[in-house]
Amino acid sequence: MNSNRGEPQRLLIGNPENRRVQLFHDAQRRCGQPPATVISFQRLLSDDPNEREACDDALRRADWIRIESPGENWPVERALLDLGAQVEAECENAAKHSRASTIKRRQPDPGRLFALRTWHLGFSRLLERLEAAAGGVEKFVNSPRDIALMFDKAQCQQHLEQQGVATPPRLPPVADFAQLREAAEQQGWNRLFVKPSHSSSAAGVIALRFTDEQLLATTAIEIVHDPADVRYYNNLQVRTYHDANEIEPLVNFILSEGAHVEKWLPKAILDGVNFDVRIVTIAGEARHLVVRTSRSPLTNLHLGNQRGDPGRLHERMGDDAWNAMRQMAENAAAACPDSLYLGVDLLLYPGFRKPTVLEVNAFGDLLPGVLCGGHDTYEAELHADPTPIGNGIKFPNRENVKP
Amino acid sequence: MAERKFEYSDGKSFKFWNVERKGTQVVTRYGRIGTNGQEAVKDFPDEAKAIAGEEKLIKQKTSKGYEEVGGGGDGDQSGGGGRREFHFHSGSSSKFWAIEMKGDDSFDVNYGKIGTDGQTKTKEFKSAEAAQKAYDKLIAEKTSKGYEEVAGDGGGDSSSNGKLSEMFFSTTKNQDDIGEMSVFIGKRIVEYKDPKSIRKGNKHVYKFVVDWDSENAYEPRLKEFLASDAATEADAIVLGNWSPEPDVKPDFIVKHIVDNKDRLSGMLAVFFGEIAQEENEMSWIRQTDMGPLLAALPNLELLRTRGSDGLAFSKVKHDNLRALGVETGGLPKKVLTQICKAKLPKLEYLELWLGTDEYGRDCTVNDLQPILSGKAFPNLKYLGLRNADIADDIAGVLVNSPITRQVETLDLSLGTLSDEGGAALLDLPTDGNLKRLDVHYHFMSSAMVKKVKSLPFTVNASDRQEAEDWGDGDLNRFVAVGE
Repeated sequence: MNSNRGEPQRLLIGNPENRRVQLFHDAQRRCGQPPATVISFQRLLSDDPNEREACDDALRRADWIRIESPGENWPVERALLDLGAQVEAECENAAKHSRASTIKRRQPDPGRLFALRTWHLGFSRLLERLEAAAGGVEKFVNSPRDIALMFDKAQCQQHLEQQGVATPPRLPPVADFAQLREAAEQQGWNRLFVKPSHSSSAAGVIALRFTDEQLLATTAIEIVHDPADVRYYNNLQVRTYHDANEIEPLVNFILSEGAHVEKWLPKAILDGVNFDVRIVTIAGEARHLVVRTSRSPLTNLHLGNQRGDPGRLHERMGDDAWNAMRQMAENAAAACPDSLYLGVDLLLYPGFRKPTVLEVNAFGDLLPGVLCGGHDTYEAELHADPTPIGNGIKFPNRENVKP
Repeated sequence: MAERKFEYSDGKSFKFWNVERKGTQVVTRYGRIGTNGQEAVKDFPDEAKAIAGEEKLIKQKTSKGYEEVGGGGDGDQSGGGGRREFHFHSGSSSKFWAIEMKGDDSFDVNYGKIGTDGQTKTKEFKSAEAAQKAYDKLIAEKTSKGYEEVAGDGGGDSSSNGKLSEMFFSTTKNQDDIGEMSVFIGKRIVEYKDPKSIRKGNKHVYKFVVDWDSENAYEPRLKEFLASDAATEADAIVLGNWSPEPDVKPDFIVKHIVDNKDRLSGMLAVFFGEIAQEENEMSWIRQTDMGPLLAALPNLELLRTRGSDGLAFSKVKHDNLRALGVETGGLPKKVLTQICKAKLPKLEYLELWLGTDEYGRDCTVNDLQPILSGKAFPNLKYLGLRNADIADDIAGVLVNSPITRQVETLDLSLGTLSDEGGAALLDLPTDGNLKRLDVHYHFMSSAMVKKVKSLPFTVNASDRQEAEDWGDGDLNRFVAVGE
């Protein structure tokens, strides 16, 4: 640890092998900063009390902490599930006890969609610990509380709506497929998205369609049937299910893990394909932008979808619509003032109208190769973030920080 | 060594291509119908090679959809009786110019702004030869300035089966054509906004469409039009996007047409749902039951629809319908069954876009049996089963189906036809009426394309696609990224 008071103690919490960490370190070097010390999630979640104490100490002494995504790492996911199971066990509920032990005994099964709510409980607990160990939220580039909120999509969309951000219309909470069907019929909706609250990157998302005769579900979920049970996996190959006997249990499962149901809105088309837009806001300003095109209802890029050309989009949209879209992203950022950067996903209606925020992502700045003003997202964040001199961090938009 | 003439049409363009071998030279002349076009000359080392060269060029053209026309009879370039009319559109200028032989040695020329009666002048000549020469020269002058010939009120290139030329039935050759229509049944499409939109002389087709700036204008505009004299003269109508909100059903459109059916006995063609992707994606378009529409328009010869959500063809019994085109992203079995049960004794053209299961196709090849057996539509000359993710399956059962001996054209384009389907097509019967096989936009290998093209039909196998390779199921599993 660097004890030189001139150079702040920078801490990066993440999975060291993940490219997010490499990319951030590269950006720091380009900005003339020494790379932040990495504390792995694995250490933070370790059973070993000595490890945990060392981590707590580092957090306490740090001047500046960046939390990165815990994803794409199976042992960490497993550890978060274990932690979540512990949280569940803390409620005096016999059913939850048995679930906790089920999770502990489970074999590694990467990609399995399972215990999403439990994962969220674990991750939220970890975020609380981080805040406690650091002695408050001020040191964090993105506040742990904002992160926890953004990993509860139903709550987050509600929060955004309350702050005046345009979001897709939602159904009231429904417990199962039958309730969902009825509520949808009441609203006159025949197309919906079922979105897990505690997931990301299209994992667990179901695009549901009702017609007179048919029920269709398009999703990145692979259904595996066993004599004993049914298992669901996140799978890059998006597919459509037609069988109500498969669809209804799947929807029930996702609903039971915490989900919200929103109206499936039509998307504008650019050069023949659907698209939506990811805008990274930094210090409240709309900066880096990616056009995510798709031939399926699920536009997330890692599903093999192509990036569209922002220049072309701007040309087709015209300045007014383009600015309105960027303004909406900034409105979303203003709703989370304790975070330096956000990845805001927006949809445009056909005709490039009515920018609507689909979700905000706490770790949504992984846009390799995308530049704005000559900087990638990480450099831009570093430039927007004044270097602390050991007495806390001041952000331009933090005048009205809520405790 | 006589000149052979070919013509091509889709919804947007009408082109001609003529070829004549003169000794060791092959001369081609080509361009837009109604113009003089351009000429190209190709020299060959000897007559045999020139003959082969001409054949090769002809095959190239016919495989792209050009069709040979009889010399002189369909007379777009040669002189003939009857009034021939030409239009010029450029920016805001819309002019007409028409010429009609009167006897052997004189003709009338009538010209002016489209929508007016214009002026008429008679030109007289000393001989029939002089008159013919002047006639040809004037037409050449006009067309070289950009005037285009338009179809008259049923003259020229009509078919003996009805009033519309079969060239008009096929409007959407490619995905790119969706939403790009500027011509329907050979007439320019004009957006109807108010009575001032009407042009004189029934030379245009009116289209109804709204956008975000005119959201609620559709119904009043349609009603106004249907109540006007223009509606009684109209032989076609194009129904574009009826609301910028994607969920709105077009039932009100059918209602107004039915209410005005006594004024619409001249209606020959309807395009219901001429909507661009940007306006409303095909699978989002809400449609309605076409049964009452067909019942209200007994003289209709051509109906095209786009979109399938809510589409129906209930209790269809129509004595004059010659062409039906149903464009969808996924055709429900229920709709296909209704079509198969429809009583359409004059149907000679059937084009169905079957789509993918992702967008609601739940029909299978079995459901096509009534059509493939030839029983449902015994007068069919064209069968299109397009935009189908079950293209291979279709090809598989087609080869054993009586329909393949009955029709002149089979169209499996825009689908996922692969080598499996291609191999099946190699067994198509060659002793029936089949002349053309259209499989453009496909996933066959080059080797298979070569084999299919060697069939004794005119084959269009252009626009080859490469499939994505997904590999093994489990390898595609991903651990949540956690953004």
